[in-house]
Amino acid sequence: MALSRRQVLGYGALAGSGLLAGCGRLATRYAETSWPAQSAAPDSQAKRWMNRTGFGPRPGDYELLVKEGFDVSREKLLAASEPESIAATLALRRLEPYSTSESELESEPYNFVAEQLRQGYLIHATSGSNQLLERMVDFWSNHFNIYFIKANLRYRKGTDEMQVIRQHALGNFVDMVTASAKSPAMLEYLDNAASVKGHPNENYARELLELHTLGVHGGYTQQDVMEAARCFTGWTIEKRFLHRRGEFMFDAERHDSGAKFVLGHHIPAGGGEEDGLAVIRLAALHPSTADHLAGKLCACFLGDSSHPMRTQVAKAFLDSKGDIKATLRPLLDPRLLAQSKPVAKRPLDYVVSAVRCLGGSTDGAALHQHLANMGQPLYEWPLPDGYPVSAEAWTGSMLARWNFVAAMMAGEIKGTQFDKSELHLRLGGDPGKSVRHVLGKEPQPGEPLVVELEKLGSDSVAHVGLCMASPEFQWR
Amino acid sequence: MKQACDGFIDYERRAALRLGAGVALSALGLSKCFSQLGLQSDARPTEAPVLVVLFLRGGMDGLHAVPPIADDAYYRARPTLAIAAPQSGKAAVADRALRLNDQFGLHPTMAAMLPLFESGELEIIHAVGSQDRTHSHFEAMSAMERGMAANSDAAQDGWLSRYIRARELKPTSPLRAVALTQTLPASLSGSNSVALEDLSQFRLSEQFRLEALSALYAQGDDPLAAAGRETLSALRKLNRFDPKQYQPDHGAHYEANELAQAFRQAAFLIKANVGLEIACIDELGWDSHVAQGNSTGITAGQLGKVANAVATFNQDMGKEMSRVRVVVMTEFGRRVAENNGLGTDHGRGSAMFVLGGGVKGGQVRCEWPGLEPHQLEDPGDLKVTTDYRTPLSEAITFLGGGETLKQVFPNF
Repeated sequence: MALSRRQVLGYGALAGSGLLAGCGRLATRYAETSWPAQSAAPDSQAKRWMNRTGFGPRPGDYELLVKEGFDVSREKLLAASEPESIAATLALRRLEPYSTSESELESEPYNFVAEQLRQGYLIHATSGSNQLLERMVDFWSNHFNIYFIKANLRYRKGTDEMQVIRQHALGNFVDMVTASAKSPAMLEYLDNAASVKGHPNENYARELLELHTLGVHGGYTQQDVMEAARCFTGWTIEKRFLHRRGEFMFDAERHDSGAKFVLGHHIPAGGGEEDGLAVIRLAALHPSTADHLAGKLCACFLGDSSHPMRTQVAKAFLDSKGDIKATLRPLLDPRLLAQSKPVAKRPLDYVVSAVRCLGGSTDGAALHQHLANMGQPLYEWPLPDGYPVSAEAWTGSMLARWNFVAAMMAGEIKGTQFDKSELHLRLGGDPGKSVRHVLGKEPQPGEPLVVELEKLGSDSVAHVGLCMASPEFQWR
Repeated sequence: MKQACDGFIDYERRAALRLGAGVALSALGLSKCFSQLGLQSDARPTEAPVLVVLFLRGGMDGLHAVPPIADDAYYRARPTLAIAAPQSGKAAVADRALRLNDQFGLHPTMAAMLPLFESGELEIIHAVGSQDRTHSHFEAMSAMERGMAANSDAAQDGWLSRYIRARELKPTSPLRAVALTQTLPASLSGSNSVALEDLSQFRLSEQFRLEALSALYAQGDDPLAAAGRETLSALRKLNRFDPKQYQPDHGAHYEANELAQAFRQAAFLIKANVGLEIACIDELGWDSHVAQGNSTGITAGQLGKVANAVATFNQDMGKEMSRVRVVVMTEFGRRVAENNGLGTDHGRGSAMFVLGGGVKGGQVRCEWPGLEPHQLEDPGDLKVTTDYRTPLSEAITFLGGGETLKQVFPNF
């Protein structure tokens, strides 16, 4: 088996930093990107392609895209089978929430667990070789948002992240909703674990219909919510040692076994666990769900939830019975992306795109504080609807964005690094090269950015920092 | 007793471990102060109202702060801890409550607040609280900060963040809501507000020149470019006037403790007119299970700190206080009867203090439920007869957000 380019480079970088010795401390370093021989400004299609299908380009990504073409790139993005770098794999393997059961994890302080989950999110996003997968993990993590400050959800969220979100991010939507409905983290977050016959808790059933599937205007009624809640009674978390911990279980004793009527369908009495599964099938492939998801995907990829493509995306969803790859395919059109409206970078997009742009790497620890300063601490959005998408929601984050860039360029963020000498070598003190590299455009003589860059002399690090602080880099 | 407090210790540990957002500031403009500071008002009209919320975390003992001096059951339930009535012959004058009216007194260490009550600027609300009956700090705080009757209610975002989202202000200052705390309080969760424990954190890194960014952000009508301009404008104003050099007005002198300094920073932000509308301040250390003290002691010291900070802030703001409202709240009060450790355990009803613009002060607003055993609730708690959302709703109305109340406090 031939080694991929990334593997070769990854091994090179690893050997260079002595990482193959398996030293834990050094495992936080895993730069894997080589800078291209020359920085050229990508055309608008390529630029949008790299910014929308992932978290933005690393050095060399544009050259690879030119070489392969959009068709090959699209298939690779959808297949999501590019090998991950050894360094990133090692760094992720060290994170306990991904590899340890909840009951074992509970012996760890929850702040430690929380930090490791955040680290994992940032390492995946910055270093993940399959960027469409990472983009969709972020999309679904927000769609099925879990506020891990509630109760002991820090201990449960890692499993949810791996087995619900990451597992199905490019899989089938029905499977993902089913996995989410049975995820102990979700069962606890939206209170279904406590839902019993006679006193059904409507919280999960409501959000399932309002947020996860049909959408708030999707045509369901309060009666549907109440009936769906009855269907999910008894969906809970198995008890061990008198505590609710452990895996999903269906508790027939707590289940309301009567007949129900949900979304215009009769659910006969005595169905047991099948009742909830029936609700999921009815809701997940409902035409309103297709439209709701299509709107959110159009906002994510085309900057406009009412984009004319919404109908086509919804149709692809229904035709494929919830296949996420098939649903995304019509959106992965370079011309469409190039012509669409700009999308505001949320703080996560901003931070990750900046690290990637430098060919840098991060262990995600100190870096997360900058995200928190911007108002997007990971897993801490309290509402089940996920961090807001609109630019207006992030108007308070500008100072923290600038200060993050300043700290990163000065090498002041512990655990986050990039190769400064390589940057100087490749950008050579030429402001124009920095503009092309960071913003993917040709500098225009006399534009304010160019005027200000020229005042900075031939310091490419300062050039790149100012480009990243500019209004343009706030959009993708 | 220990078990009951584990949750709160966790809370404090979390707070200590998490660094983050905390100060919600909104714009106040004092023309006099502006001229002193050389500041121009442009983020919000200079007369825009401001709300300062002080949350006393840990369960402040309302019966200690505002003792029911005419209720014999109070003195029977608290033989060691009760604050003597103003006319009591059994205690030295300094140890007696200050008289508010025939029914209630004020803890002697809170003397700084007495003139504000007497002049009608300060209102006290007693037997106030939520419907949360878990006696858990975390549950009760969570209910209040989310503006719910009890923690089992569904909403997850904070009441202040619902107000902020329901009432869009244009332009919106990056300092519209500031938590002058280490971590962002749950009341602001869901609003993209930030915690600034120290205003000096609101500084642009020296790696960037303000002029360079101003040139980059001079144009552009998208929301983030506009936000950049607002932020740069706030930075310029704050740069011109160093928070550390801030001189309070009217002879006010803030104590050195963190609480007083938080109020000092709020005063600075209000006068700097950077668009502050909401400031949140926290004070920990009210969980008085052991050695609570009476006219002196731990809780007495805490109460004095609060009274002095609030009174100093009031003095500093002067006439401008008419467009500022300060609300002092806590998640619950303490058990009526003292415990074996000369302290009090978690209870229900407590007291709130409301000061400033539009307040009908000089009264203790309450429907007193009484403290005889048959008048108590659960394990022996002061009943809640006024919902905490009543004064908070009045505060939102004071801000001009009356039409948002259905969103801010749904089901109330």
